[in-house]
Parts: sequence; structure tokens; C-alpha cells
Amino acid sequence: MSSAVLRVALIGNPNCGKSALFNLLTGSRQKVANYPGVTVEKREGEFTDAKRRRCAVLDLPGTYSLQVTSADERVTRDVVIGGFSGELPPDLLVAVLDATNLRLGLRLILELKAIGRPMIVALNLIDLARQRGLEIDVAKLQLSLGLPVVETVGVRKRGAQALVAAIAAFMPEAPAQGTPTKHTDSAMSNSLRRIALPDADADSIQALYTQVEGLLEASVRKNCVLPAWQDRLDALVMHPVLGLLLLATVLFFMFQAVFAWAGPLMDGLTAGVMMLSDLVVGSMQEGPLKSLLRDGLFAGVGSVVVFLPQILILFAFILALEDSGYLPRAAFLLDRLMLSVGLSGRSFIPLLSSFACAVPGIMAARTITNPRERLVTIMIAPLMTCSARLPVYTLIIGAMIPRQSVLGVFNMQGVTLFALYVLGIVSSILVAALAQRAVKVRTAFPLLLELPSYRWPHPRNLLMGLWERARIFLRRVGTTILLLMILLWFLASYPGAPAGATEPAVYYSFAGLIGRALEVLFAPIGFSWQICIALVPGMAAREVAVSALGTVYALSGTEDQVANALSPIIASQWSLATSLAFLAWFVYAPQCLSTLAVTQRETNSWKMTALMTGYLFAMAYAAAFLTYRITLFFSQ
Amino acid sequence: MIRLMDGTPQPEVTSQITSQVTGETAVHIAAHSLPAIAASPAQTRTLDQLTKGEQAVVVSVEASAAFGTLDALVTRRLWELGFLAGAQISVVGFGLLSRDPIAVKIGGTKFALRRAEAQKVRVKCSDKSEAESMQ
Repeated sequence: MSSAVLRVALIGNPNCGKSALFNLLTGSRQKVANYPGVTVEKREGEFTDAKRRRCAVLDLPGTYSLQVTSADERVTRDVVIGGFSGELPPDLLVAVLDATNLRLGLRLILELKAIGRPMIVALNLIDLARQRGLEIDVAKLQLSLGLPVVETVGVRKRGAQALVAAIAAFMPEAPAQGTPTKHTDSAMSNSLRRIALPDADADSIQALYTQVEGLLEASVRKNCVLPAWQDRLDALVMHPVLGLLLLATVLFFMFQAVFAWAGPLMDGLTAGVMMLSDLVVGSMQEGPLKSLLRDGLFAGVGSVVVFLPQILILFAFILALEDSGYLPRAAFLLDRLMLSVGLSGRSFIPLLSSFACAVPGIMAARTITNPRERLVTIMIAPLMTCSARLPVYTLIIGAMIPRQSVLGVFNMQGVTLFALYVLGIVSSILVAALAQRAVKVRTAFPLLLELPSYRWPHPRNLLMGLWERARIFLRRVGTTILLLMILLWFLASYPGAPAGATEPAVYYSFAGLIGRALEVLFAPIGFSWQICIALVPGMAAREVAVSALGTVYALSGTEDQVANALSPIIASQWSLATSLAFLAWFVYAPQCLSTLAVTQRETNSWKMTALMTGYLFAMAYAAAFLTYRITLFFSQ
Repeated sequence: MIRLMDGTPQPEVTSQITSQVTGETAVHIAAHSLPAIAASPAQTRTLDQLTKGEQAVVVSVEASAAFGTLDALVTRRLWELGFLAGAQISVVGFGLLSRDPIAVKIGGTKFALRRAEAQKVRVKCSDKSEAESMQ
């Protein structure tokens, strides 16, 4: 991106449709990283204009004001005023203005204008605003603002054309020549050019709002009217009792759907993997290569690939809820309840994303202004059942829990899955309550949460989000999981069984040795040496445990047909007590290196990371032990 | 809450704080309560005292001890979000436990506030809702 002729930054209020506009501008050419020194996510991309000149685009965290209250907002301010260490101020600011909420956005734009950097205003969501009755004279707005104003629709294919043209007007004709020196110059004078922000008191804020009213009066003929159904919907959604019932229903439906809808797709994928395995391996001679392909690749890696539909369905729900504007309402409903354990509604959104994956969930915790609450949120995020646990849960539930219906409507397997989710949630509440008792803090932090108007989730944006998730998942399957499975296949295949062996060959292998050594530790919670083998590579990521079980059992199996279907093996070889203990273990165990790494990065503390790892393993062992013993007691 | 005995807001509350969140050295804020709207004490209430659906006009945002050193920051953010003298405000709904938090609509945008934040916002009832409550 060094050869870009222009560097622009998108800035705007939260919920102004900035991210959708960024996606539209840059397409798939995005790169997500962190700002140096702080843990705020930095989204960068680029686009090429009609003259093939490249423009780098930076998506700044949403903010209401340059007077900051959180780490996110601070980055935005520092980039804009040019005080960010190691970062050059952008050449051009694109202020994204939500046309359905002009007042709040225009106030920020006037604040930005006072800084005096080159700026374009993107009047975003203009189609929605017109639908809601907005009549605006863009030419007049442009004139009275003294800034170029273009209309954009972040969710329409050509919705950013006017913006691209307006940005192109700022591009130098000769591409990239002399720019490096210019940048070095500006870097040197960077600290000198840092702009002082004026003090903000009631009078100056009032003065800005008076200016905003003037702008609106000059350019807006008819204001947006929020459709009446939105207020009626809010009366239900935010109703103290009905709203909570609705929230519970939405979440329950979501988890049922993950289990029920994915079923046929997963069966299809499983059949596909088996067919492919037969096709590739069937005609091969017995030998190490055939074993590697059949037991390592198809039984190991294949057993994880089939969970892609479940993960995508879950993400589809969470992305749609995010887009619709429902999540802040859920945060509103739960705020008081979460306050009783020292959290707030603000921690709800990071915790909900943790149901998809704890890594983005832990990163999203930076929008929480209270440092103590942020830490607790990070610590309990791994207790939310992430999508990587679904392969584990689904495998065991599918094998051990009968498919009968409960109360005529619910599926027993779905109910078990829901119970596992509930167990994670209840445990997180207990941990948060304990943390609150341990560290008492008296000063309050404000909630001050915007409840944006409802919007229909846009399929384009949704598909882009799902595609990104699918790519991440498949890349992991193709790299980490594949490598681990080949390694495991090797460890589990060599050395071979001695002459006159009574156990399957894997028992005598390196992996068997490790598994049997660990069994001493795990026998009290009912784990066999095969399970212990699977737990070791499962440290990398939870779903790897399923692959590993696939490989281990494929190698201990004597017939070809068992190699491909793990579920019947578990049904016949595991006791109910072991199966339930295994589920309980995975509710808590922090078997995910990415989560631990992101925790270290976000808290910047090895102590906290060690604390998290320790307490989760302790809870996992205790829960598995209790589950195993209680089930044994009742099944006798 | 710093108020004179007769209930009129004290004109100049200057607080100098050290912000924990931003790490800045000091933020100077002069909290002027705007004299533009003269309200008799009987008519003004704090935002948390309104009932659901009730409409009011913001009079001022006042200092409060609940937020400690962060109070000036909270005050400023409330102003920036439009909680300024003269702004029309209405209560949209309440949470389940002790009617907390409070959802309000101001300047066409809805916000959720905790009771502690709402107590900082002094409002007076608009004539319209007074007329409604008379009926």
C-alpha cells in the first residue's frame, strides 16, 4: 500500500454505515491489524480509480466527538489531529454522515472542520433517509458547509461512485512520484503540526449546535420521520418483561436453528467426504500413504470440514442481529441485570460475539469504557460457547443423546445443546460475581448507549461477513489442522505394534504412550487414553480434538468402514458418564491458543492470561469430575 | 449535586479533573448552566423522575458526585449528544429492575441512560404534556 497516491480516512458516528461503505469501497482488498502500541483494530484497504491510481483507505473507529471517552475514540482523534505515534495524518478525511441522523453527524463534522484538514462529506444511507421522507438540498448543504458533499449508499453496488469521483479530484496526476519525500517531511513536522483542540464547554457545544440548526434550516425542506412501526416495535422489544421474553426466544431459536438447519447440509458434506475418501483411497495399495490419506486426511481433517454449515448459520444470525440495530436494545434490557454482577449492557455485545468466536469478542471489549469491567468481560468471554465447540458438542450429542422430541416441539438433542450454552452463561455470571466481590469499586461509569433506528440487514454485507468467516475457517483447516493431523497420524502410527500385540496398534505408538501417561491424570474424570491423545492437539483449537479423535479411532479400527464415521464408534465405546464429562470439560477448558494470545495482547499482562488459563482448566476439571461421578452414581 | 437552597442551578461550577480514561493530564470544563430558560423550582425535575411517554424540555446538565472524577467527562458527552438547554426530550421506556436504565428520545435519536446519568439532566415539563396530564 506504499505506492498509493492518496491516503484517506473514513470517520463518522457509530452506526452511520461507515463499515458497509468501507467494504463497498475496498471490496475484498482489506487488511485488519492493530494500531501500534494500542489494541485498537485497524482496518485498511485500497481501491483504484478510473485512471488506475491507487488510494489507501483507513476505517477509523466510530466516534461521537473528538473529546474522547474510550480507547477506540482516542485512536480516531489522534489519527485525525496528527498526534498518533508513527502514523502520518491522512491526506483526506471522508466524514460519513448518516442522512437519517443529521444532527449528531453534522455536529462532529463541524468539529472536524475546525481542524482544517481537507475533507469530503459522504451523505450516507441517503436512500433510506429519502424513504423516511427526507427532502434535502445537497447543493445548499455543500454551500453552507463549505465542503464537498456527495451522496452514498453503502449497501448498493454502485453506491460509492460519487464518492470515488470526489476522492479522485484530490489525487495528484502523476502517480507516486515524489510522495515518499513528502511523507518524510510531514512525518518530521508531525509533532509540530499536532493541532490543539479547543476546550469544550456548554457554550461552545451550544454554539456548534446552533450552527447545525442553521445548516439544517438552509438545506432540509422536510425532515426524516421515523416510521411509526419502529416506535411500536420498540414498545415491544424494550418492554421490561415482554422484551426479555423476546430476547430469550430469539436466542433459543438461534441455537435450535444452528442444530436443526445445519443437519441436512452436514449429512450431505459427510457423505461427500466419505465418497471422496473411497474414490481416492479405494484403489490404492495398503501402505503408509493410504493410511495417511485415509486416517490422517479424510478421517481427521474431513471430520472438521463438515461443521462449516453450523458455524456459518450461527454467524449469519449474529451478523444479522448486529446489522438490524437489535443488539443495543438487548444491551438496554440486560444492563441492570449485568450491573448486579459488576458488568453493564456494554459488555453484552462483546459477550454475544463470543458465541461465534471469543477472539473478536475479546477485541470488541475495548468499546467498554470502564477498565475493570473490560477486564472481567475478557476473562469470562471464553465461557460463552463459541462455534469451535459446536463440532465437539454435536459429535457427542449426536452419538449419545436420543433424537426424541420433548414436549412435542423441541428436539432432545437441541435441548441438550441449549443446556450446555446455559451452563456456560451461568458459570460466567458466577465468575463475574466473584470478581465483583474480590474488587469493590464505588464510582459509577455511564452507560450512554445510542439505540439506532432499526434497519433491514443487508444481504450483500451479510454475505461478505460470512465469506470472511468461511475463508478463515477453511484456511485454518488447510493449514493448522492439516499439519497437526499429519503430525498426529505419524505419532499414532509409529512405532508399529510389537509381535503378538493384543491391543490396537495405536496403543503402542508414541501418541499411545502420551495418552496413557495423561490417562493417570484424567482417569478420575472418565477420560480414556484415546481421549487424552485428542486433548493434546486440541490445545491449538477445540475442533482439532474432533479431528484427532477421528484419526486415533481410524488407526485403532480394523475395518475400513469405521474409519469414516466417528459417531457410531463413540456411541459403542464411550459410556454415558464419559461422554457427559467430556462435554462438561469443553464448556470450560481454554483449549484455544488464539484466545489466550488475544487475551495477552488485549490485557497486555501475562499474569491475567495465566489467571484465565488456570481458572478455566480448574473449572473444567472440577465440572468434568462432578459430571462423571454423578452420572456414574445414577446409571448404576 | 451542587444547587442553591432555592433550587435554582448554581451559575458557575468549574471542575478540574484528571481523566482516567483518556490519560490526558487535565481537562478544563466550565459548566455553565444556561440562564436562557427561566424555570421556577416547582416545575423542574430530573430526567429520571419522568414517567413513560412524558415529554419535557432540557434545562441543564448538573454536576453529580456519582461519577467521581469522571463527572465532567459525562457532562460533556451528554451535551455533545444533544442534552442542551431547550432540547425536546421524551421517555421511551424503562428497564425491568427499579426502572433502570431509561430510554429517551432527544433530537430524533434514542439513547439508553442509567438512572445516575438521568439524574444529572434537569428538565421542565413542556406545556403539551402538562396539558395531557391535566386531562
